Amino acid sequence: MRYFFSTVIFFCISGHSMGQSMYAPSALRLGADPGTLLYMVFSEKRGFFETEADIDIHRFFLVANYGVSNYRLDQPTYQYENNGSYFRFGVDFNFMYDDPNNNIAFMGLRYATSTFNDQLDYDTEAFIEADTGWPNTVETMSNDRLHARWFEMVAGLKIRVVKQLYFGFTVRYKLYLNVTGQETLRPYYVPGFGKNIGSSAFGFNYYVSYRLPFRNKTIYIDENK
Amino acid sequence: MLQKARKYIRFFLWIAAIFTCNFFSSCKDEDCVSILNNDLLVGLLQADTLENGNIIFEKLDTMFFEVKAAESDSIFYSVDQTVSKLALPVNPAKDMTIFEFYMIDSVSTDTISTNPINIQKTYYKNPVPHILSVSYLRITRVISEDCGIEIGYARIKVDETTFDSVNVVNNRISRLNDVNIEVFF
Repeated sequence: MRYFFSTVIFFCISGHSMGQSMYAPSALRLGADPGTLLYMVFSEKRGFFETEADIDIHRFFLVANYGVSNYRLDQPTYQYENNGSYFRFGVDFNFMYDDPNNNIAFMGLRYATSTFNDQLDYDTEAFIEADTGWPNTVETMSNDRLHARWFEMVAGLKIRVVKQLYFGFTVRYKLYLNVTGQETLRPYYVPGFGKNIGSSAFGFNYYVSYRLPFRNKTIYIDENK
Repeated sequence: MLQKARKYIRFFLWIAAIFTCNFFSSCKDEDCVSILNNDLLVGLLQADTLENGNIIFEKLDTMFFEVKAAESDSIFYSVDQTVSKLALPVNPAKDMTIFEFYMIDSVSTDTISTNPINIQKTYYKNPVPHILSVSYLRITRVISEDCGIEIGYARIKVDETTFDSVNVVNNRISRLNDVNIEVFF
């Protein structure tokens, strides 16, 4: 995260020093996923809050997401709880960089990390065969500060709705999940990634964003085309 | 304007293609099949010296008076079974289990009956059991919300034993294993 913001500040400063260079960022866009509200209302299992920031550099965007998440399963024989946060950063290529409304259609790559804790409480009764005579107890297994990382291929749109307000979505293909630090409990859920049942997963986010322009964007049109 | 609309349509088709390809490749069925259980498999072996001097180990059919675990009130094997391999359930609530193998000390036969079928044998227990103390790492996971959880047992070690010789041949319990620990008599 520190490197991402350092990079943003670098481009902002260098953008100003370059005047109206085509590489000078023109706006910072800040957004959040409204899916949070849907999950708050309709899901007892999952809750999350995700934010997004992007800044343009000609045809490219530097993008970062930060989110917090909790996931809970309550079953008669076990309870599983997972809490943590995640951070993604990467670059998008904008196919509509010359759009006068600053709508964007993009594809990009992300590197994502997650830090989380999880705990499983279970009744051993489910694992005791009738004639083995082991006493029934409630056991707890937990992980403290696990780390996960993965990569994402993303694509999506952000469309201006009114003034500087944009609605959009991002489709994510998450791959090469790696979780470190686990010992006695294999985490079922990884914040930002989803269920840990394979090294790849599919994801989707809606975003509502507000664009904060630094300057008027100059659109460079190749007249030879 | 038309060109812009085409651009949007092309892009939406692109995303639909990615969505379709990746949706089918990344959706995984969560089946409830588990190859894990808590049966530690103990093989009983005996050394046999061949004529050429080579030593081989053969399965040894053994009758125990009883086989049980220190903190369980169940008897896993009793005198009516002759076995060369035992499936001993480890304690799912602890990281170690102590198994006690009571050998047969002596047998008395009721010689009054003339019918061999009705001959009664009485087995006497050796009061000092053989001990096999094993420790392991329990690894739990949620298979899926509906399937529930499973416990795996790994890094099996023999901490203490009174048998002459034991050997851990497979340190992970699984239904697919043949034997976890070999005990040599």
